[in-house]
Amino acid sequence: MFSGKKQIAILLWLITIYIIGILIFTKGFLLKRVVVNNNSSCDVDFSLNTDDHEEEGCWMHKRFKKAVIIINDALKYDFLKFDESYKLNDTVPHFKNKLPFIQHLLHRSPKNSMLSKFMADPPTTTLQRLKGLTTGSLPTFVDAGSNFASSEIIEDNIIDQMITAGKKIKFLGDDTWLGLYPGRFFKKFPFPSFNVKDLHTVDNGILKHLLPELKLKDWDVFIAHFLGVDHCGHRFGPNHPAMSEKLLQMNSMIRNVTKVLDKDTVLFVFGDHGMTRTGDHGGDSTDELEAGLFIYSPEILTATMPKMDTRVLAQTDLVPTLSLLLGVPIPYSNLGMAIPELFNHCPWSKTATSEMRQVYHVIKALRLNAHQVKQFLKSYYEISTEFPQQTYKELENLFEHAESDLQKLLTAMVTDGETGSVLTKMIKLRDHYEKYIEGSREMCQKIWAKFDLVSISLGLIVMFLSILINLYFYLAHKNEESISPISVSVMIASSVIVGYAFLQAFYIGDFMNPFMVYLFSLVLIVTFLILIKKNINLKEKSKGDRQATFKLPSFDNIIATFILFCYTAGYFSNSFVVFEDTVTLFFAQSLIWLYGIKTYLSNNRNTKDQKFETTFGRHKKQKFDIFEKLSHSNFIILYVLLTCSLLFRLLTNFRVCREEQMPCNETMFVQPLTNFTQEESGLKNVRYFVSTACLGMFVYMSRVWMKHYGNLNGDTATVLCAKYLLPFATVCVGLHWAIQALPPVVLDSLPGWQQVMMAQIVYISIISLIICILINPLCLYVLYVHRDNPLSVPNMAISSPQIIPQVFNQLKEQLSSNGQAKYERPPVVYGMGTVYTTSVLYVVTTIGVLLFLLLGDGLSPSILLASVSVFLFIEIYSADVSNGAKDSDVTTVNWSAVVTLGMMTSHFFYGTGHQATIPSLQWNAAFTGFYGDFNNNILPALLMIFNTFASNIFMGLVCPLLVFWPKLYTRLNSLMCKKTHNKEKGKWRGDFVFFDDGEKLRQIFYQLSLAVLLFSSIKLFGAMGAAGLHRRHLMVWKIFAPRFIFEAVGTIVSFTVSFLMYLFVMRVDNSLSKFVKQF
Amino acid sequence: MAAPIQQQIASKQTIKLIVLGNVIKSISCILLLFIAKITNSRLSLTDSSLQAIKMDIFCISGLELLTNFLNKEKVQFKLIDWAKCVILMVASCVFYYVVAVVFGAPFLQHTNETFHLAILLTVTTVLPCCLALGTDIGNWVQVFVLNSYEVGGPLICYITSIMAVLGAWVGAFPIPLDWDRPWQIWPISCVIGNLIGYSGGLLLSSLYLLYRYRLLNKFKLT
Repeated sequence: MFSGKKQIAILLWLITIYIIGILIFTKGFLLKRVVVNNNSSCDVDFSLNTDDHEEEGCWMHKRFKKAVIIINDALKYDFLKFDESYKLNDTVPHFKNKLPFIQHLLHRSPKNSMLSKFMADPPTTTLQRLKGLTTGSLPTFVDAGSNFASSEIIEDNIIDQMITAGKKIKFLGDDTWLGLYPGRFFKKFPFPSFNVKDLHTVDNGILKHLLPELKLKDWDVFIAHFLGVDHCGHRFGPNHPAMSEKLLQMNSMIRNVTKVLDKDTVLFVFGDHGMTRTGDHGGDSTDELEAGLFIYSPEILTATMPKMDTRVLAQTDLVPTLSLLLGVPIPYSNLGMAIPELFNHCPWSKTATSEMRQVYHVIKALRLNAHQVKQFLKSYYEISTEFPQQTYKELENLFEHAESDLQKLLTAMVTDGETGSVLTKMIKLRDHYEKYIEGSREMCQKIWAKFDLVSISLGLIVMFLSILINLYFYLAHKNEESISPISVSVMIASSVIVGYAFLQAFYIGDFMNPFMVYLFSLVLIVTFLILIKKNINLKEKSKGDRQATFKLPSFDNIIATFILFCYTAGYFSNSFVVFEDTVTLFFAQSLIWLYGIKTYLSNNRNTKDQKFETTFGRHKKQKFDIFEKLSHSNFIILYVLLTCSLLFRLLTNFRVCREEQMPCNETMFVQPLTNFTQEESGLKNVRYFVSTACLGMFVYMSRVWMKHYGNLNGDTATVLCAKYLLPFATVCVGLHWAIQALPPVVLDSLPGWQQVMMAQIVYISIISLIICILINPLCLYVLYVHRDNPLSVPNMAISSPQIIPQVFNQLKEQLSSNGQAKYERPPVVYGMGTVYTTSVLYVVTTIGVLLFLLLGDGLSPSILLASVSVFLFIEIYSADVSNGAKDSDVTTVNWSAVVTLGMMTSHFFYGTGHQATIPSLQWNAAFTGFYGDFNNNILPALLMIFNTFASNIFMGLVCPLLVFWPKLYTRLNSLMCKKTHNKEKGKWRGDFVFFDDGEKLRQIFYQLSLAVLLFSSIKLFGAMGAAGLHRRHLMVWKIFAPRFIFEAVGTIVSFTVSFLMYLFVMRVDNSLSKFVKQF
Repeated sequence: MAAPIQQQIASKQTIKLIVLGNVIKSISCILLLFIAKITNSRLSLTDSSLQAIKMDIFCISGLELLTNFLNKEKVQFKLIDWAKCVILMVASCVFYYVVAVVFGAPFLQHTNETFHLAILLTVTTVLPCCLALGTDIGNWVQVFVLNSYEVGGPLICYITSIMAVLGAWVGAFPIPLDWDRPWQIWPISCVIGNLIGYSGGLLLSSLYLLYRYRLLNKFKLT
């Protein structure tokens, strides 16, 4: 006996060790850099203090007393740069040339202003960018994950340095800053940043206080962080009238600010990142990285008119520039380079116009900067061994060389005076310093993708071990010897190993010798051998016992496994990952066709005994009837197969492009309806109505199905909900889309609760639907037949196509008590034949509606296409199963069917407008039905998971149908089979056959869950292995790491859903047995 | 050997002829792949793919018809059978085209190339089967579904056509790779895969045929 609790325990245990493996790997792969907790201070040995200017300064005399920093979120260089190629009457893109004041300043006072590209470091999320902009250091990939829980910065940063220097900072805008720097600002006006739909609250809030606060002059540093441009991009994309409105607003803001600037103030206007063509950011494409920087001061900034159009500055350069300009120490871990152009002018020196003087000034700044970088590298070198020895030594030499050159030069200047040769030497020296700082930055960039090899290998080993154990249980189960002493010992031994690996990775850490990894692999190999031996034993045993039941893996299983391995191996090649949408399509279609061929063969082999010549018309005298031939079961299979794969192929129209896939046509379906312009209103209407029709079709089909099988009779809460609440929720989804499609001006004028009401009604309906089905998972209706009223209802019911009643003759005899039955005739139960299927379908439909809502109107047809093609595939599968099995047989789930379904959903991921890249996340989903302002981040994260991993969720929900569907013998199924079934003979029992043997049902579902787990984890193992192997690959952060992250989250989602579905089916089974006991 | 006892065995001469024909066909198939290099013309798959595929189609169908013509024990064809064959082949072209599109071939671009591939697939699979099995569906079911084929032409066409389709399927694998080779462009790699699969199938099936033939003869003697 193998009770359900043990199965649940094994499944949970397997999921746990899988997740531990993923965690260990993640820990090693996405490693944070080591934070050096030193702070720069004023008195350092390298600051010369040779200048005798009256202006005070810490390392260097300060040029400016005050600074105004205006951060314009997502201000791209393209927005700032005035493009003069457009003629007066040309239609300019909405984001172009909307900041004419910048151009005006650049023309009017070229020595007081400069404009350049301001390259961000990926990941381009605001929090990471703010960290980089204030500490001058480079972020690591893992930092991206902490965007939802912003934490205080403890590393040395410019804000703290300014406060130490006694400067007062005033802050306005995005409240992310307060999370990073709590208690640092002496006056602050924060505004919530999370609601991306809200274009104006933050900006108008800032604008209200901006000028009065600027004029108060009680500040030394003034920071304002505008969000409007970024939110506008998220909501409408860059090329939208709202963007030009926003940018013009910014233009007038900048004009007003420059008017009130004092002489001793410098103004920085910049974007923290750019945006893609769709207005999103987060990734590392050029569009996202290319922010713009504009610097202005009423004082002369630079001596030579810089050619900044061609220059590219890094965002880390802001910190040293600002520090040295304001005369504060450069933060300790800064890796940026002070912008040389800003230091070539010294207003106090009389010889400011001499070129040598200018270069000398630049060298002074760069030298301080280089000293600071050197100090940082040295202390980093002490605590971590990651620096490549050779590069580090080379950089050190370069620095020493430059220092000695400087000394020589100074003495030469004293002795020989300022000659021409000194100037060339100086320029060379300047280049040396620049090279040193750039080289250090590059070296750090390389090593900060630092990997913990021990954890990576441990994670991979644990994962591999888990797959083996999973395989073992899957195979052992087939041989019906599920829990044996050996399997218990395997469980205990692997728990110990996994537990140790966990401790090792998270607590013991660096103390481990890599040699231990090999020890682990040895343990692994031993386990592997035990598993193989065990399975061979089992096979032999079963061979001896029942020779007839023992089979080699069948043809289709071998091919399915082969395709799965091909797919997994594809993760190791960057091109296959880039074109994964095509690859999954190809493999999924191959598997669908494999199943079609298999069904075709089994259909015809079945009738081997019958003379198929009669059906194929060997009698040539028989009249040739094309319709008869075309409606032959073989042709029906072909039609179903073709329809299935054609619908599946249509999913490709919903794909979005990733950056590497050029050339590629962007789909129009992911664009929100509200972005359609006035001219496209016809298209907008068509798309809206098509989407709504698809949604309606989806719900209608499942409703018709349930009605056909009599599951929508009666008045229990579940049935009533399915009857009325589900269509109501569907209508609400349609209305929600309609509201969201309103023009932005109209939409914004609505109060917040009206914008989200419909979606919230849908959430409430769906939650109540789920609660209903959990409380009473049966959609049955009992009709008692009275003794004195023998109206032969059963006959009527049978003859009616609407109702398939189930007669409980034998069951009643078996189960009813010996007491007098109230009614003589057995009661008629409507929907008994599809009791399990209906419950599963109910859940699928309910969650399906939720997915429709979250994926948005554009992708609605794709869900319909996917569900219809999955449905057709299940029909093909059941035709095959019913060809092979006897009617009473309870068949186990086929591995190849699970692989096919898995491959189909892998492609469905791409069919729902996703790609395995961070820029392609559909952030809008997090705001469906909520107006922003979340207290915690669980809810938006959950909505994002539902949106992104809709495919995995859908697969997990649909899988149980693979078990139940073949027993239904639907009409399509009977058309596809030559064999006649009991349905025609009037003995149809539907999936109720599973009730006869509850133990068997449990085992089948246990096995199904194991198969799903095995499939997902093999895929994940491939992604992990590829990420681990290619950790030094050029494209690792663009291709392999995102692929791994998406796969890991998707796999965990699949695990959860398939486990929950297992529990759900058990729940249905339990309440069914309670139901039957009533009689 | 699970072959039915009443299985027909082709005569020794026919077997020899079939094997010889197969070897010639498969060698010429391989030669077709390298024809541009041999003749120094621009008729390679990478330079002018459509012309090259057309040439392949003509050569293979010509060879198939020729070997069938030389075979004495061939299936008898009437005029109506030829007509049926042509209809079947046209249908299979359309079928292969649909399958290629469904598997991910571009729908609106490269229609010409896809159609050429469909014709080539038809020529390497349906045409030999038509010639060997005739137009009687019963024969086809016998071979492709029940796997009981006569040692001779049907066996050859069974193995060859499956190999040809598999070859084209495998040929699609390198398309997404970023090697930037000229043969990675759709449908050239599939054509190459198909031709290799076809010629490999011919050779393999010839060997298998000889092996089976020897076994059967032994069985006969004893």
